[in-house]
Amino acid sequence: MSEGEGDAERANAARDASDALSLARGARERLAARAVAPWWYAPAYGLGCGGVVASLALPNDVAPIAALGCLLLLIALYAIWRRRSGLGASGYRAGPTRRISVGIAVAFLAAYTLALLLRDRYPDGRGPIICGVVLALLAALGSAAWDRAWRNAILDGLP
Amino acid sequence: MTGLQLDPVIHAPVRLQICAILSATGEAEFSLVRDETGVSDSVLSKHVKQLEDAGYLKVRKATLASRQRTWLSLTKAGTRAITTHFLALKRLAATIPGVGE
Repeated sequence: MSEGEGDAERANAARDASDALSLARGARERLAARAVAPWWYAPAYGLGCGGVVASLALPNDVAPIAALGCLLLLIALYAIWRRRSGLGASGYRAGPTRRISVGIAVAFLAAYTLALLLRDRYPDGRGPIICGVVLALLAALGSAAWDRAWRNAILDGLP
Repeated sequence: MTGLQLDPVIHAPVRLQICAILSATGEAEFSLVRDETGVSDSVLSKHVKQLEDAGYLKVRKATLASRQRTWLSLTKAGTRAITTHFLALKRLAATIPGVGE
């Protein structure tokens, strides 16, 4: 094989590789466009998280039932999203999404602990309700941020 | 030249797209992958089987509301293989100036 033929073959191989990367990028871009969560997902997620904490304001015989209802809402939300999107993703997958998930989990634990302390201090229930509202906002923002981070990871994931 | 080899199992365009989709998510439903790759059920099944036989892909069937759904995901070996394949492609594409940028 002459030097010129060798160069042409290498150039063809490089173009083939470039085409293959473009194909993979196209598939990822379509996936990212499809992976957008519906507008109501983040507010509903925030409502579920905040509801668990705010349920501490209720009388002791009702609080566990309300908390369970909110947890079921969170499970149902994920199930609906999976069914609609045809996708499944762990909240703790590596990358920025894991940091956001850990952040939400820490905020949840902090709000729950604070709500427990405030419930004893203010028997009228305002402590858990305030903690629940703040957590609901944080969790909704966190959920929206997770969605954006995941779509960015889908697009940036190619070397 | 690059030290990284292209994987012939992954390199076919449909299988490359399947792996590109699955490496970005935990699981994807068969019908989603079919729609995104633009092939028929039977063609996709053949490619899925090839990836499964290579140990790169797992198939999980789940029934919900009396409807069976098939979920696809990459195995650890599959994730490693597609990562190496992408790196090999990128290095190969970068060997000629102006290509692969």
